Amino acid sequence: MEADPLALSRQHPEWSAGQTLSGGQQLALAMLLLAGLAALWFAPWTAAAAAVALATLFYLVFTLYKLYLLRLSVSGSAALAPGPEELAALRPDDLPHYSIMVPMYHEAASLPHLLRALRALDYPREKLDVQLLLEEDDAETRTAAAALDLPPWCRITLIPPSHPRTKPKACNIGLARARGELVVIYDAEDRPEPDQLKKAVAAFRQVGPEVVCLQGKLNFYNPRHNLLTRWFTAEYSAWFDLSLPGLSQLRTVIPLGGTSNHFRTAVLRDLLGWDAWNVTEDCDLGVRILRRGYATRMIETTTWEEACSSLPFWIRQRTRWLKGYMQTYLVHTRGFGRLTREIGLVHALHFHLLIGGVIACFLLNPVFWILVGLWFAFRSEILASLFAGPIFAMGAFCLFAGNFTFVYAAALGCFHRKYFDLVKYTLITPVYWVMMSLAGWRALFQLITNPFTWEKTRHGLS
Amino acid sequence: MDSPRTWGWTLLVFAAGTALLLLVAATGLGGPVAAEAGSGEVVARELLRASSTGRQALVSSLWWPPLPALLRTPLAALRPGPDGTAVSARLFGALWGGGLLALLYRMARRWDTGRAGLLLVGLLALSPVFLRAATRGATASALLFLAVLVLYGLIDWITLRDLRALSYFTIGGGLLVLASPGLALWFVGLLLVLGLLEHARPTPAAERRALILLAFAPALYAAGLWLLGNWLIMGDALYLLRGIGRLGRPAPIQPDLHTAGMFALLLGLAPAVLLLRRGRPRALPAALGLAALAAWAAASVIRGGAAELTPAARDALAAWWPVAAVGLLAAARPPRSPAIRPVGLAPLLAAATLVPAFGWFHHAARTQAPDPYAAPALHLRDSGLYDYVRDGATWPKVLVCGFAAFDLLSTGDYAPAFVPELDFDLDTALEVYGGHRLYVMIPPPRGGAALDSIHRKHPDLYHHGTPALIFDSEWQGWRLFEIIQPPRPQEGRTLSPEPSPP
Repeated sequence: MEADPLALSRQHPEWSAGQTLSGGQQLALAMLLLAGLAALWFAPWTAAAAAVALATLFYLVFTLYKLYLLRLSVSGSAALAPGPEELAALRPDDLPHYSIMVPMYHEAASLPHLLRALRALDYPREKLDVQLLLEEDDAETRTAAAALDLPPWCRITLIPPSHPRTKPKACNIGLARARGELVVIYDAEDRPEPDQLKKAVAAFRQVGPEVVCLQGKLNFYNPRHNLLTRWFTAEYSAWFDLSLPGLSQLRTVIPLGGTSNHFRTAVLRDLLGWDAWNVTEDCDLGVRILRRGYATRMIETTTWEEACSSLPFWIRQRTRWLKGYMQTYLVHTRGFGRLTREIGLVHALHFHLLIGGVIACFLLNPVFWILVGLWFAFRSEILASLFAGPIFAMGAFCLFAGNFTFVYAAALGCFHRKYFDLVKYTLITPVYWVMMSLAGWRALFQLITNPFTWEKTRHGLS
Repeated sequence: MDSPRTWGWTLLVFAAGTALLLLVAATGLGGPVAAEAGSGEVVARELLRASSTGRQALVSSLWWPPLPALLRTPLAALRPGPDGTAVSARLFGALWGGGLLALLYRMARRWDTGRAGLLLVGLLALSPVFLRAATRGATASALLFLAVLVLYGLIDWITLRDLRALSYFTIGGGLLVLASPGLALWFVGLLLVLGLLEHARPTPAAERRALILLAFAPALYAAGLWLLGNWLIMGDALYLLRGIGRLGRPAPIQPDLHTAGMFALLLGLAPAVLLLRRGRPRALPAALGLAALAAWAAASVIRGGAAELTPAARDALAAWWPVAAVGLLAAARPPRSPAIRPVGLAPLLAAATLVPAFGWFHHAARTQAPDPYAAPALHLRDSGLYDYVRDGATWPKVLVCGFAAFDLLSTGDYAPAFVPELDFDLDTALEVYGGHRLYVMIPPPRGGAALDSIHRKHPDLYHHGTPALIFDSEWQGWRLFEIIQPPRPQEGRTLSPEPSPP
């Protein structure tokens, strides 16, 4: 099959982040800005109080929503978990061909570890189809790959240099050449659990044909490298173990993680693969799967990754993720009410809270931290007047109960993952949130100035 | 994972329980709205008005913890004003009561107790403590819910090592710290029990440390929040602890016979339930016995007229009732249940039952016990005080001191003439209300009122007045003082007489 890595944006530009804002969105945003400015001009305190009220209401709903997900996620069997008996019952000749795609860019050092991890996979070799997706102009990785004795089930697919230089573009080329009935994406530094492919096969057989994607859990093999990796691990533990399983149980939108997504290849091709212009193509695909009437489920298996241990690189990585979330939110809110008509009100609310909610949280947080700081410092009546009766009550609940909930969820996540020594570090995760907000504002700036830049995370630092 | 069917039944139990409790409340069988509920409603309304009095009432007293008032605010917002007090208070009690029944139902289902467990839930629902709390809007209905949740979480954690159970236990405990000092102590006791049980397990030290951190964190955080609130609002982080030493003052109370009856009822249920579970021939008579006991319990409620519980006895009961409930449900588990009677559960239940029970008997046996919640009963309109003050001046303003003010003012709309005042200061009163004819109304220094700041700061004021506060009249123990206002504003007036010049 000939590859058109930009098929989605060419055939359905309205579903692609190639254009950041549609005409309608530009108009709506301009009107919103004008209305906001007019309100601030004519009735500044009323406008500010209304904005605070809206933000507080959002925080309350978001906090309760996260609590709800936490409650669902800890209720057991929220993720598909094929047992040892089911895996043992899988006959080798009955297993489907499995494609593994590993996009790489300047990651020569990761190659030996990657091959070790792939060799450790418990799956018949004759049914494996591994593609290393290497950029044509990445001489360093190409040379390292050529020097290795690649097994026959592993091949190199070259990605011609063209705009945009993104991972999803490479994946689309790989998808076109994939030979497996099922396909999975791994990153260069990933170490999937050996039985992951078999678990995915068994899980796909447990569910109906509407389930076209299984998301494995992600966690880190270097959690104790430094404080940043400890926090990062706590965040991942809470997200993949105590939030996504709840979403899976609800059969709703699941923002896919960047790796360990297992797909039915034919359906993924039918969906036109990933959006090459979206810098969190995984998150976007998760939403698109639901919009096309399919479903994603979580699977009880873990892929171990390397947590970014350098603050500057972490900020860049988080900036890309949040920028991608913004792109995804804008893509799927095109056409007034269209998303709701397609997936229904409940799923649309999940989408708005999961994707829009996260963005709003990180952008709004610094504003409210400053307001709280100012109040503690000056006890200003003017500031107090922004929080009228019930708004004050809701705000206080979010400040004192909501924030604690998020900290405690991270602690429970670490406990659940048996990272017992990390639990105490979660008590100071609010500092980590400050860094997230910094990345959030940086992402917004980049979305305006440079939406398609892919800031590569450097691995091999641990 | 809970099936939609289980959830559906749980919701049905919640809705039916709430509706039934509201029905009982509407018929008046449960009795009038509890005094403490009325006070809580007024505090909630003050909070919604963002008044200083509301904020002070929220945090300033160990005996008036913040959570009950906070839990009342949503309903107070729905039915603002004095007319809504009784409605929102009764709705509060019924909702928490319905929630408690739903929680017990889920426990019975989860523990696979069969019909015996469901019967038990029904019987517990008929117990006088529960019915009185839930139909009179008392805070105890919420406390019972939290205490059951905590115990349920602890047992499931010990038996199943279930993360959800652990979070129920720890977060429920954190909420108890903000809800009741007695139950906070009870929770600390459970934490110690947990620590001992974990110590007896072959658990790695790192896991034990993490567990202890997880278990204590919500309670410590809640306590820290309360102290922070005191620092922000009262200017002293330890303000809530003031006046604890005055608890030694005796105040007469009546022993609560209904509660004692309920205690006997529940103790009698245990062998009967076990008989039912084991399917012995005597199961039917035992079940009939249960029905008879339940009928007796219901009759005791219908008779009504029971005295208010002292807070210590109430807390002890609130701690004991769920232990009894959860313990009986645990006993009703079939032997095949994997979670039945693990090592350590029996001593835990025994300790958790006996300690609060002892506390309750101890308090019930003392006829002279302090009651921080007891508000000297007075109805402003019925007593004639309202008309007396209104007829005496064109613009009167009566500052009603102490927490008892909230109960007093919950019976009608007395604003703007009567306002609650938790921290009376003469200069501030003159500054804020200058121009009105000013009165201060002071509750008798008995029971909980003895702990109010007015008695703490000015111990002789009630009995002797001061040159600036002239005794006007007495209303069922409450004393009305008129503030003598200077002809023109003066600086530095104090309640105490000016020192004589040397």
